Amino acid sequence: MRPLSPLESVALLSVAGSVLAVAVPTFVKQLHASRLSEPLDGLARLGQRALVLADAKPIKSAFPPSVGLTPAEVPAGHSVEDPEGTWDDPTWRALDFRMDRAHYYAFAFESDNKTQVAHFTARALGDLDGDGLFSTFKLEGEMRAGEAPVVFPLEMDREVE
Amino acid sequence: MTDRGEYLAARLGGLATALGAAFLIAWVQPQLAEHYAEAHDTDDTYNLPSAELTELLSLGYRDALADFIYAHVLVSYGLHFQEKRRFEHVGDYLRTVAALAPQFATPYLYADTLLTLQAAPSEERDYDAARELLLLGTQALPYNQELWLVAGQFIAYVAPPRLAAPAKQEAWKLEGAKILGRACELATANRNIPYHCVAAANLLNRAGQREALIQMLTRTLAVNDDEEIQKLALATLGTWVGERERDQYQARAAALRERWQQDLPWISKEELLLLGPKADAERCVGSRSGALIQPGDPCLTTWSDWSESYRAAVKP
Repeated sequence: MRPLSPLESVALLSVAGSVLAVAVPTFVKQLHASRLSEPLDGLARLGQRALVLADAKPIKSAFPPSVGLTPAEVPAGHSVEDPEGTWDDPTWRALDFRMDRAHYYAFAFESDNKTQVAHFTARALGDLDGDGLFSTFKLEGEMRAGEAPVVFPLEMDREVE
Repeated sequence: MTDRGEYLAARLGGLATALGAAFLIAWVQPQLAEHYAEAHDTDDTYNLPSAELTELLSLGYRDALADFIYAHVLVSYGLHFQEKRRFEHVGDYLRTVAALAPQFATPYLYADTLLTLQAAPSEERDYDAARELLLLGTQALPYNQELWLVAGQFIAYVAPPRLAAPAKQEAWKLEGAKILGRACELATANRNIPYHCVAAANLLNRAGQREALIQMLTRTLAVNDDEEIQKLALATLGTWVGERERDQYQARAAALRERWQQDLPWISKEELLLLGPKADAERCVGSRSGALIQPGDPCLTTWSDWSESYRAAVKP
C-alpha cells in the first residue's frame, strides 16, 4: 500500500481532529445528559413519598426528620456504589429511598414540622465533571393544617456541567 | 542520500505533519465550535411513525427497539434539560415503548418524572399523559406493587394541585386512592405500605367513599399478616367506619383463624386461602348445586361460600 504523502497526512489528521473535536464534547454532553434522570427521578420519588407520609400522620410529625447528604461525599466525576448501611437512616427508610446501584448524585432531606404547617426540602447534588462545583436540584413541599400536602416546582442550579 | 539522512527526513516529515495537523486543528476547531454553539434547537420533531407501524418496523425485535428508544428518551430528556427546552414528544416516545414492550416496567415508572419534571413548566396535558401511561402500566403489570404505588402517589397527591377543574382534582384523588388501596393489597417487603394504606383511607374518607373505604381496609386486613398493617388498618376502620364494623371484622378474622388452626395449622394463610376450607368428602358427596348456603354448613369448598355461611350465622 502506498504510504500517505505529508500533505495527505495533514489533511487526514485535520479532518479527523476536527471531527473528534466536535464529537467528543458532544458525546460527553450526551453522557452527562443521560444521567440527569437520576436526580430528577430521585427527587420526584422523595416528593411523592413525603406527601403520602404527611397525609398519614399528624402535621406535627408530617415529614420524617432531616437527614444530611447521603453519601456524605458527593461523587466527583464518577459513579459510586454505596457500602452496606449507607441508606439505613430512619428517614431514608421511612421514605423508602435508597440507591441500590452505582450512582452519581448524593441526596439530602430536610424537614421542619410546626403545628400549623410542615415543610420539606429534598436536594440532589452532583459533580459529573469532577471539578468540585456541584449541580444542585431542589424540590420543596409543604402541608398546611386542614389542607392536602403539595409539592412545588423543581429548582435547579448549575444543572449543566 | 544516506540511510541515516532518509531516516531523519522521514522523522522530520512526520513531525512536521503532526505539527501541521495540530496547527490546523487549533485554527479550525474554535471556528467550528463557535458555529456549533450558535446553532440552537428550538423545536422538536417526532422521528417515529405511529406505534403500530413502529411495531412492524421492529421486525420482531420489539424489546430491543423498545430499549433503544427508551435510552434515546433518557438522553434527549437530559439534553432538553440542559438546553432549558421542553421535551415535547416524550409522551409519544413512551407510548411507543409501551406498545413495543408492554411488560417493560421502567418507562412506566419514570413516565411521571419525564413528563412533568421538565426544564419548562409542565402543563395539564403532561399530567394527563403521565396518568394515562401509569394506568397503562398498571393494566400491563397488575402485580407490580411499585408501579401501583407510584401511580397512586402521582394521581392522588402530585397531580391534583396542577389540575384546573376542581371536579377533575377530586376525581383524580379518588382514583389515586383506589390505586393506593390496590397497592396495599399487593403485600411486599416495602415497610412503608402501612402509611400508604392509611393515606389511601384518608383520601377515601375525605371523598365520602364509605363502601370503598371499608372494602379497601378489609381487603388489606385480609391479605396482610403484618402486625403494623393490621394495627393501623383496624384503628382506621374503627375511627372512620365505626367500632361495630371493626368488631365485626375482627370477629370474622378470628373465625377464619380458628378454622385455619383446626384444619391445617402448619400451612401459611396464603396456602390456606388457595386450598379453600376443609370439607368432609364422604359426608358431602353428591351435588349441592343450587342449594342455599346454610349457617355452619360443613360442606363448603370455597372461601366465598364460607364467608356467606358465616354472615348467615352471625346475622342478627
